[in-house]
Amino acid sequence: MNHLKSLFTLAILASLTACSSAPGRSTGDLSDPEVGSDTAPGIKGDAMSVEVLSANGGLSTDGSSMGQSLDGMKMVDIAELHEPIIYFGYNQYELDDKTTEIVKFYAQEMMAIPNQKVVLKGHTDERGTPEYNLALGEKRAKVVAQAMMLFGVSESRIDIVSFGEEQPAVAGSNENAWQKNRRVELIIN
Amino acid sequence: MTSVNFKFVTFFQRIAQIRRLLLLSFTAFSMSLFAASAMAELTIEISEGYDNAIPIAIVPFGYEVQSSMAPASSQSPVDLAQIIAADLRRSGRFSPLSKSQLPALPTEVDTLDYSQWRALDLDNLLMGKIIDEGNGFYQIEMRFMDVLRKNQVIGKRWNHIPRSNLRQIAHQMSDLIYKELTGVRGAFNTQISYVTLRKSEGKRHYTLEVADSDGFNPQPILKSNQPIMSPSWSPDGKKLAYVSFENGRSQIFVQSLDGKYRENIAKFKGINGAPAWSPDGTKLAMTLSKGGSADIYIMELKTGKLQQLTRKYSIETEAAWAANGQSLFFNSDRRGKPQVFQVFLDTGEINRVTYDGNYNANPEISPDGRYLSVVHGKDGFHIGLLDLYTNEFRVLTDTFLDESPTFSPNGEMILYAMNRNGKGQLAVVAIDGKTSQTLKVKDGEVREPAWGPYLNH
Repeated sequence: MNHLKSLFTLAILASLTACSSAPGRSTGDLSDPEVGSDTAPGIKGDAMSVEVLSANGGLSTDGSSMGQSLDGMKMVDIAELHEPIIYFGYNQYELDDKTTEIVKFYAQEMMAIPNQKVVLKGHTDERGTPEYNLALGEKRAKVVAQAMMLFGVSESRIDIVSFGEEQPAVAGSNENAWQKNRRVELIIN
Repeated sequence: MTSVNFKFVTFFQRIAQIRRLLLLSFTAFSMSLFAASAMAELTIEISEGYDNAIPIAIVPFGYEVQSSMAPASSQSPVDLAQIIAADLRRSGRFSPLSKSQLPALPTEVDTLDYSQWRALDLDNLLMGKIIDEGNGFYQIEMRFMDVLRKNQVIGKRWNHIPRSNLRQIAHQMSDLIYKELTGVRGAFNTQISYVTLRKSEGKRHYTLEVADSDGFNPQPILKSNQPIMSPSWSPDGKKLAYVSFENGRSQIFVQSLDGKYRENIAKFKGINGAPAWSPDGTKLAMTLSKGGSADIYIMELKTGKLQQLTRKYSIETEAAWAANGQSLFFNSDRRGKPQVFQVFLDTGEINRVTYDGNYNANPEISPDGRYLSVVHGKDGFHIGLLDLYTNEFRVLTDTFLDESPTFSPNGEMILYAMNRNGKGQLAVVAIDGKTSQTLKVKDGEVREPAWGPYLNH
């Protein structure tokens, strides 16, 4: 038992150093402002839509957990180790071992809570053309969706939307900003 | 002339081609863009100009009031000569004299002393009158003179013009002068559309706007806190199709500029993007991924009926119609990275078009069908130009992150979005790559430009 415990602690420590998120990180980058469309008089605007990042027991993006666990091994704060964001290489839409683990983690969360749905929001960095990037963002979201389905989440619980290069998480024209913007956000609801 | 693709060289394109070869020595281009004035929200910088600008005299128009009316004001409501001089100067092709350089202010042929003007070593002079009819209507007279041959080249009168149309009349006069002196139809009397993005208090505010081609009269068409992309003009200049995320995902809307009509015409599952109006105005090409991956479709606007043109797991997007409406150019990464392909509507045949470098996206075709403009990804992203008649490829810009090229309706200039110091601006480059002008909004970014068609055609 002790052996397992120390292995587990090591694993957590290893994940902590590998993960780039800092505790208490602001969600300001990821939250979307309220939508309004103000069209010319006489034209009906369409319904407002607001993106909900965390609600009634879902995982919030600042990593605070609601205390649910899948089995006795998982500790309360383990959600902090995995931001619900998958990052991608330039012009790439593949998962690597690390990102597959993150997807698996959230897939398992969803399997534990039957009514949960997820919206996968795909993004790119600013380089390249906006419409091509709209399609590339969708490819990224789709690869995450496919992985979630492989881990057991049914397709009906997954929604995909791409914003291409239109909603960067980090402003700037440099490698750091670009890397942070090539992402799929998992919005679990 | 080598490797001409006979599929799309029509009779008119041949004529245009021959005309263009004859005009190569002019390297004329017709763009008058963005006036730098406190009135416009947009500001313009001209970064380079031509060495050989042609001197020309644009004389301030005379102002008269019809005798039966009491004068509402003592001067013309709009300085027509100033607008025309600004148009011609910003084309880079002409160098209008400043007011202080004008030896006289003639308004009629009788009072014109040709020798005064010949002494200034210029060939042409514009003079005219604006006559206040009362009740906000005006009569405008234009006389474009050849001071060498001592005759009138263009004489025009406009009757009963409302005050709100005076700038447009000035642009029409610029177009007439430009056509007379270069042989190419002017594109001053046109509009542009673009998206602005302003950020305040952590919120993003998007506006789709339409402005005169000189940057005046920006009119908001749509305001949103969610992204707006890809405006596309209807060929009659009365409607825009665009992508809006107001419902939380990409959807295509068609909206009339008079505000009377707006419809969400594509809200399929997945992407609804890259709308492109057919030259006959009856169809919209678009990118839809409802079939599993981004593909090119054509929607007949009257019926909503869809025709799928591509069926690939790769990304196919950014369709642009050939001028004859019989084929479309588009961006496909079926070979690994974006390249431009052409699909013919009658046979369904698809051919690759771009071979220079390993990234060519966002194709746009010049109105005469000769040039293909692309976003070329090599050492950054630049605007590239492929001459479809000769297969010559040139890079037109040297800034780092350029995108969204759009041709002026006379095909001589390309308006595009560029990124300078991290902020988006619009810029103009001539087909020959020479002149550069930029347009920016204060407190924000400008992106996704689309140049409108000729007005009043």
